Amino acid sequence: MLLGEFLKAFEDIMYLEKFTESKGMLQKINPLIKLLSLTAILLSAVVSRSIYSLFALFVIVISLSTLSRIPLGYLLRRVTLFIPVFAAAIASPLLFITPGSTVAHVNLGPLIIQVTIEGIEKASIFTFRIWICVAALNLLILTTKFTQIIQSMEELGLPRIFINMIAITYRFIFLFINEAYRMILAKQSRTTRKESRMQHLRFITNMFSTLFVRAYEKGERVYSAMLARGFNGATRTHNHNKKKPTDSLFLLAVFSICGLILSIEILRSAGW
Amino acid sequence: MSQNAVELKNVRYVYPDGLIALDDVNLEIKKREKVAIIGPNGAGKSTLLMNMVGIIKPSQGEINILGTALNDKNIYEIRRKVGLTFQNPDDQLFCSTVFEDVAFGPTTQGLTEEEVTLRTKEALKQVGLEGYENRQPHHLSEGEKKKVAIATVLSMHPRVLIIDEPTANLDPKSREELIELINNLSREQEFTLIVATHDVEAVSQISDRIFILNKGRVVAEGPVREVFSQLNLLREARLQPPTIFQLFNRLVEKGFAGPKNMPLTIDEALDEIQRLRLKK
Repeated sequence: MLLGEFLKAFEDIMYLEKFTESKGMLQKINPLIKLLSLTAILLSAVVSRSIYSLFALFVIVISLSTLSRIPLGYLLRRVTLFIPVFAAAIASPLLFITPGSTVAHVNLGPLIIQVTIEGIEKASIFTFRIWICVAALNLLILTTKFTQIIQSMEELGLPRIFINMIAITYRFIFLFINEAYRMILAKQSRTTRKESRMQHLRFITNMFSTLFVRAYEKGERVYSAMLARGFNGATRTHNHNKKKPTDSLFLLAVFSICGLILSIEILRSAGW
Repeated sequence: MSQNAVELKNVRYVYPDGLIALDDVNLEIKKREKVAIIGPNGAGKSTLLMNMVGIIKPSQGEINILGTALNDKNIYEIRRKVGLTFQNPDDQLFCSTVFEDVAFGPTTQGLTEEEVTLRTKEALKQVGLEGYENRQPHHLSEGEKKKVAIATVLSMHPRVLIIDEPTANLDPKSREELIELINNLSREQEFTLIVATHDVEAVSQISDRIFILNKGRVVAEGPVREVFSQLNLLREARLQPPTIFQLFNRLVEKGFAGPKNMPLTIDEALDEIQRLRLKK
């Protein structure tokens, strides 16, 4: 059942358009401007080395979230859900491999692994940075309708094939999640005793291979339906998002702050 | 100028794996006619429809649409005139909003933004889904999805409207609404209507003439009542006439006074019973 619950939870997270309707600050900003601003925040977080710059970005993200009427607790939970995975997989080795003053050590027979202060600092900054990036992305997704994100990508002139792939994936991924979910339910209804891990694994492998075949066949049918309506390779969406003077002001403000943070970062790394 | 909207001559279609889906199919559908193609599962109905818009090409034979032979050169021209709605609306609706989906066809026709918007709104109004523009297709009910799927071809102003299994997977109320919608559309618009289905109850309500397709061949054609009278043929094709029709057939067998016209729908049956009572 765990897999089924996970799939349902995933769907709820991705399909939540509840906050796009509320009249918060980010909801009122033009989607393209929002995409550019939040990307600027994300890029600033990626290049920032000091904890102060990151903290400034953290404050910006939290303020934007509050102004956009997204409950703080909700955003924290949602973002933090992804973090332990990253922290464990990527940041934790930093604890041990960064040279510096030792605060603890683990004896593994002849091998002694040391944890350094510098390592702890690096790992926490890394995790914090990822947190800000994920939070910025979440702000975009929570306050913007998916169609508007697609339209903004178009306005930016991203390759058509790339945009089509994202749009079609979004449209159909949940159809397949539901399909998988139904397969799990159908299997459970016929399971009358506890299964071994191996049997469960075999079921999952079978389920995924069946899903691949169904996805392929669905793709063929969708393409036929597109052809039937005269598709010849070109598509165009209909963008009705107007830009207001306040949008430019918002963009200017975000870019200035990010520019300031980046300048400080560059000066610091130059040894100032 | 040909009087036929759709004309198939000796059409044969063989799938790459060797399965013969259509075998020597000949049929003529006149302009503004309402026809149904009925047949059991796997009879080749969907294959036939896909051939009519050139999504797949016949292995042999000729297809004429509105007097023009379908070929590689005029395929886009033909698809502007012939709208096909697929059985599963999740195949038909692939955009992230209802508006984008309904606007897809007119957009590929190269119409201006204003005209596309106008046609989209008009098509949604025709199917009774005004205000659904910004809804996401995956959030709609099955009945609504079917209606949007029909709107996606109505917006292209087709001269031939083809619908594959319109009533499949619908609850009784949605089914009734869809039949009414199809009837209203075919009354108000000047298009030829072709419906593929195995819902024999719906057939008598939406079409004037039917073709029976079995194992890739057209085994019968004619006015609805006439074809439903050929019980052996229907049985061979794993079909049955509408329940009301069967009931009156049995009544006639039992020696009750035979009606002038075998009723196909409840309304027709009521009229017939009324007539018989008056006679007594």
